[in-house]
Amino acid sequence: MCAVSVHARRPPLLEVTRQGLYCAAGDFHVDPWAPVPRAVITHGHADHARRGSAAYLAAPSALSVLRVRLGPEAILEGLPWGERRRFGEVDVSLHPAGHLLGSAQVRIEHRGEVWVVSGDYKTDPDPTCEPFEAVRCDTFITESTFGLPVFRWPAQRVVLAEIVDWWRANAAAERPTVLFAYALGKSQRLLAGIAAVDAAREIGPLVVHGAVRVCVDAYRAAGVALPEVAAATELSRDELRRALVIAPPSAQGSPWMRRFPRAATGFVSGWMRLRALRRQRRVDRGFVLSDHVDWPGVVGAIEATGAARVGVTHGYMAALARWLREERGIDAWTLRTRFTGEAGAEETAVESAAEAGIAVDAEAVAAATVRHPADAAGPASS
Amino acid sequence: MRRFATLHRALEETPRASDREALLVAYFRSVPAVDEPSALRLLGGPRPRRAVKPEQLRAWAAEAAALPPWLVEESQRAVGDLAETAAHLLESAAGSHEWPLHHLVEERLPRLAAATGDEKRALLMAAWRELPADQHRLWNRLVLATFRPLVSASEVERALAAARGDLPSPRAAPTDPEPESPPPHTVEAVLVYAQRGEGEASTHYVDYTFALWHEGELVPVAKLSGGLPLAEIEELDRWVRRNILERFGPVRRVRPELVFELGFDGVEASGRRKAGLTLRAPRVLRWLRERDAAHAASLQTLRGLGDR
Repeated sequence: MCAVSVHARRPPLLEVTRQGLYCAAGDFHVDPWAPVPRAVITHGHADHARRGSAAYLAAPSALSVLRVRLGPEAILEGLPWGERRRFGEVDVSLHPAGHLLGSAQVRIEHRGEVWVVSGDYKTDPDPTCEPFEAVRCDTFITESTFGLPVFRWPAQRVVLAEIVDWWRANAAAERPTVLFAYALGKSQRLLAGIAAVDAAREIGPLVVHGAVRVCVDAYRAAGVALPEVAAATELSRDELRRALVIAPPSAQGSPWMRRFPRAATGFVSGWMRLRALRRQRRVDRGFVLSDHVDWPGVVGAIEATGAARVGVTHGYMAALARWLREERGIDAWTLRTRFTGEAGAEETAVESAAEAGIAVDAEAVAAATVRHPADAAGPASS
Repeated sequence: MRRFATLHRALEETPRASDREALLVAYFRSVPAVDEPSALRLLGGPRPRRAVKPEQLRAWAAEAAALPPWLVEESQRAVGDLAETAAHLLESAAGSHEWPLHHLVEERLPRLAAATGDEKRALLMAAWRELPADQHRLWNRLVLATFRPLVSASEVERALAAARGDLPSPRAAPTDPEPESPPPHTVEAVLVYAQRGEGEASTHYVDYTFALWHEGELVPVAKLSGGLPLAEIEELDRWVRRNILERFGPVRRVRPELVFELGFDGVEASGRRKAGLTLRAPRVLRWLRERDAAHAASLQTLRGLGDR
């Protein structure tokens, strides 16, 4: 294949080092998992944005979230969408990934050869972030969190309507409704989506956990419109019985939940597609809504890039890479990274701590919780 | 098969035995008579034999979904269950035909089991094309004989008795005359307590306790569930919410104002009850809106009916 000969002539633009994905020609890392001199960050989730690097570059709309995540001392710089920045021998630009507010794909051009790192991404619409942009490239580095054909997302408006119907029934029975969802990204998407469903706001108040509140404030600071939310402590017991509460998964089973006696509980994640994982979560309802691409999404996104080479990272790496090779004739290979996709626990540990004002050693948290997804490993419980 | 698929999905995700029984009761109250024997067979056995081997089903699912067989195997490894995997893979190719349970269980399944080779393949693919996506997993489990009832025989028996006993037959169309003979006895009783139901009924007050007068006091004689038309259940639910006097755990004591006509087959002495008796096969017949609670029946009128 000609793509292989191109590859053979030139060293790869990106390689996996001990610190992370490294571009030698530009001397920077993308989402490094250890401190480096220069980090380009795709988005603010804990497995992608870690403390300790000397300087960070990210999309301007990601900065308010990154400030919370990386601390007041971190040196952050915004690079507007599509604007080129020269590093060494390469031009770098950022393009929306649609994963959450300010989430970026990193485009790297070196003497006419273009690589794009997707970070985490989705192609479904999300009113709280910039829509995914397909970027033409020679080599595309894609995530594969849900890279199997069993993952196919239902229409978002159907899922949101189901959530609101369930909330309405709980409120009528005077039971609080608690939805567990990732504090950054998913929670804000849910708030905006639920508030937009007809008559949803008449059911009761929207309540958020402190870890979600921090991210709501960061979104608002970046100019995203979100509905009014209250803290649980600001409402009476009676009001809480009609409330929809959004909390990170780490709140499940914690003393914080005592504020909501007899609560009906739900979990919002792409993993809720699988019955075994719904049961494992021990909630009343599982709702399938993900900030990652499903199978049709990942296949469509790869095709839209026109890439002849595809590197597959975290998730069902081996299966997606093999399918691309055998069924699409694409030169695909797997890259072992420390990204975890929608795995969860470590992210919320960081957010809860950040919310409590505790300085977080992200590396220590990661070392304790990050799994190294074996090729084609199942969605191991987090 | 929609009702049964819905029941089975709910049973899978309902850990509490009491909730499961409520689901069963609700199911037996709504299942068409023609489907009931098939439902009982699936829940109590003997269950149908395997109609298709797993490797056949996997291969045909790959073919129907236009995927390489190895990717179906990878998917099954992630999902953990072949029936669910095939259902997910064929979701977008599913149909919208609502076959009755008995047709699928008593006709299609045996035909599939008896067929061989290409005919077996064609029959299974036809079922996949016809059945709605959310019935595929159940169908695949029946086909593979990996279906499990998730309830014990005694739970099924109790639920069936509750569904048949406590209520006017739900199978009669609303306009049809009640097919049952009128109850041997009726009594006008006052609603004194209400409690929310379980499972699907947990949003409404659907468990009612009725009382009769005895020496100036209202003494409970029967605790009943449902039996009213849906619109009246809704109306009564709203009334209960506005007329709660006291709370004892899940039980609400309500203003003793509303009168209902109860039907029953007889009376049995019961030393454990304050009333000293229980009603045999009691059911709610109707809400007597014009009746004043003060004129409800007294316990004395029942004592005369005591069976020897």
